[in-house]
Amino acid sequence: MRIVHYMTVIVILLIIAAYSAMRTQAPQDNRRISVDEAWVRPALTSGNSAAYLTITNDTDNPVTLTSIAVDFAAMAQVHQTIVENDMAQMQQLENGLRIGTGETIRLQPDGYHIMLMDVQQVLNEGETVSLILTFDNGETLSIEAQISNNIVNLE
Amino acid sequence: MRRQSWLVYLFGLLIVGISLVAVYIVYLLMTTPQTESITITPDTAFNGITAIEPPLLMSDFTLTNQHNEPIRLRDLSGKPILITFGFTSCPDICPFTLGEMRSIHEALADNADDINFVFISVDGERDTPDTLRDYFDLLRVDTFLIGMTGTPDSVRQLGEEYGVNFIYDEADDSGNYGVTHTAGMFLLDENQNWIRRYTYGMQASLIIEDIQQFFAGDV
Repeated sequence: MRIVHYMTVIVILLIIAAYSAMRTQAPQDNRRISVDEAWVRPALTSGNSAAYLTITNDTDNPVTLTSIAVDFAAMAQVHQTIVENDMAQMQQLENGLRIGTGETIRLQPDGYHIMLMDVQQVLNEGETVSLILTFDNGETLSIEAQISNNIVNLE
Repeated sequence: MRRQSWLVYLFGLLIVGISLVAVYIVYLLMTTPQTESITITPDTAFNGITAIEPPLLMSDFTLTNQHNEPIRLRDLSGKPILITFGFTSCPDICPFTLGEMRSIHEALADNADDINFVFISVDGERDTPDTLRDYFDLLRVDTFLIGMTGTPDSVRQLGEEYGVNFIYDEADDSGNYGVTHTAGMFLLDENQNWIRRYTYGMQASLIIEDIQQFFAGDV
């Protein structure tokens, strides 16, 4: 009788262990990270701008956007707008932007944005610029973004 | 004997329970994003609009507009004024607010020219009148927006009356710096009494409604 009980416990534990192992070691397939709706704010030379986009992670593992390369600004970093006591400020996400499995993150005004520092040329509305996004799984995405004074959503 | 087997059974259940909790915690740790977006959730009763009671007559001041001419606050009396503070190298908050001002201007339609829209720079060192003008062109707010710039000291002094503060962040290697500043908009009536504070990030449609009510005489 006693042995049966112990066996039951051990079997249940084994099932749980197997399940968690399956979760952590799911084989990577060809599903991918995609970026849509990319746009960049107009800016003056030596001013700052921001890029906004939507990232969807359809891979089987969480990924982190670790770096952004552009040729039209001195530096590009993921920032978050934080408002405290009506004082607005930017904070860099030191560890990058993490996108969970199956998750979609929108970088949008008043939230996350890619801060483009010290813009090297005037960014005029209607023009297009390119950004290269690098993720911690080694994946690199080259995207085109339209320069736009996006209309504020009044909904 | 019977009692002993119950104890073993309970012990087994306990282990299973603890394991399940442990697995659940590990699962949560693995799936919770480290960075979560901050949503501004003012308490439900607050819609973002603060009425200034009683209205406060604002002091006059003189700054320089985007056409390099001196401009006084009193030059704008006779019409209500919607004011915001910011700086032209601001990547997110100021263009967002100016985009809202453009939307408000468009939505006010017939009343759009009966109100002055004002942007006061908190970064007078970099925001020269020319810079303001180029920036307004770029953001398509040049047709209606009045820019004002001056020394940081003078803007700091006039800003105090509005509860506006600003702090210069440390400059990077190329001399680029950000400015942490009070965001939002301020509405003065045609006699330059401060009557409204609109919180940054609130729905622009509520600001439009509120200003329309003001024009309808309901405020």
